[in-house]
Amino acid sequence: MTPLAMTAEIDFAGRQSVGKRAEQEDTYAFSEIPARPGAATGVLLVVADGMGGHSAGHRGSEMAVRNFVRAFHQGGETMHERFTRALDAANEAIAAAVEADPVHLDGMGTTLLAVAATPLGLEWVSVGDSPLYLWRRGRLRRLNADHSFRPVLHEKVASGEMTQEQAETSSLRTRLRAAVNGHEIALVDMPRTPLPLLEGDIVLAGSDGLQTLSDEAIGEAVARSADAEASSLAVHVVQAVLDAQQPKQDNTTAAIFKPPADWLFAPFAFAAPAPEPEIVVDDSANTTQRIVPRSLRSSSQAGDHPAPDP
Amino acid sequence: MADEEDEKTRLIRRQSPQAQPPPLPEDETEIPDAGLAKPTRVLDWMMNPEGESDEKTKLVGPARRAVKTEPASAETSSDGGELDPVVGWLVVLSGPGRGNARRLGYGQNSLGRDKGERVSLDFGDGSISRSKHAFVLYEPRKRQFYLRPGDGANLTYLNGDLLADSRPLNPSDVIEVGATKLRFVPLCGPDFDWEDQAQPPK
Repeated sequence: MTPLAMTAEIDFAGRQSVGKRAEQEDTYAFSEIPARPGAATGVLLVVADGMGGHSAGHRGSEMAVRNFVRAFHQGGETMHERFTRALDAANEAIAAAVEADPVHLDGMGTTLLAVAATPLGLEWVSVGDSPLYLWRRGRLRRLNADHSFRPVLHEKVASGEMTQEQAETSSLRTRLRAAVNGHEIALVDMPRTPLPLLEGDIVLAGSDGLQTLSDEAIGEAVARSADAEASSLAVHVVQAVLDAQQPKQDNTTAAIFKPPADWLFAPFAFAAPAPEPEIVVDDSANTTQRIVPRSLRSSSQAGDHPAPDP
Repeated sequence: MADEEDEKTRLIRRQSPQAQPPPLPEDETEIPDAGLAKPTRVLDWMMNPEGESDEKTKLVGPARRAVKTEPASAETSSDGGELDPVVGWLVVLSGPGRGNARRLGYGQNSLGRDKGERVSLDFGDGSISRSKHAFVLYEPRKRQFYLRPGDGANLTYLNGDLLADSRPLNPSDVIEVGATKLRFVPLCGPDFDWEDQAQPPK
């Protein structure tokens, strides 16, 4: 099987909703991970949830994603090496932008979740609270660390230092312990070994707007469309969040990857880095931002429509 | 507007970059998760987050430009468990590490001497490739194991024969990488797979 044929079979898609917010501050991107001849192509997925006033949230997430994807493709022998370099590039881009325009961009920052799916398994680097889920055989599990204060509050409740009610109403729930904001990154979740993917697995990466729903409810929404293509699955997940009618619904992004069965046992090795990887930014629809290499856009249904906003 | 602001994603701001960061241990793996490391202080502050404005700008994470790995959860470690159940083992018959075993999981198991390898042969045999010396695959549909050569120039032998392409693995087969001989011990196969269980493994 040629790498090109494998590329065409890979099923992935993302959808977004602005929710009840004035602006879409989430950015996501899919990007092909080129492989050596005879090996299978991988997929890189990046989700960023921006923060800061004066449109800094929107700009921060877009800037981080674009710089992360570009640096990732510039090379590195291991996924770890590529992730580390790309995260640094994203962080430095934000530092440079804030330095150039401190009046408007002070406080600009973003979460950043990057997921690489290859036949060797799932690898990720995560800063912040953008969740990565794996749906396997009817059950949804969160894979990445949560760098908001939710786990800290949970711990306090467990040890009796706080009541459940205090924890649930605390304004700290959605605040972050780490972000990509041009300073030192306090916490980075980057497991050392890939998590193998199995046939029928569904990978869901998103922004914390998804967490209007419980993990169980997200799992149910995935289960209802588990056999559907990634594009309709992503629409259904975003729609399930909107159906909850949370009056202050945050920006919501759902990006789906479904590993093809015959791809799981294919060899994988990075191709030699291209001098200037092609990255296409398309934010013509003002509720959606996507960065997808042209080669992938022509061979898949990735990210072509935003989810309907009611 | 203030209400909405509360729901937005916001970073607990740390000290400004000009401020002197506190001294930190050289070994970055020893940097504790700050939120959990100082429960009393963080708790006080959580109960009264809008109090002292000074408190809001306190260091919440370590001020250090370092990529630090925070394990996501026990489930994603390579020690097995629900997400990565064991399907077999490779036992070191001879060479450095003799007497040890390494676990195999579903899908592709990369052999190498790097600690990040899924099958990490980090016993001191420098003639094993750092990464992807060879792969052991377990394919659950056919319940069959395979051995496949890796990406590098270092050779792999199966029962004494040079491995040129993917070959089925059978119980007690001997795999040779570098100066190390490994015996293949399957758990899954025709008579057992975790899929057979009514419940996924806990």
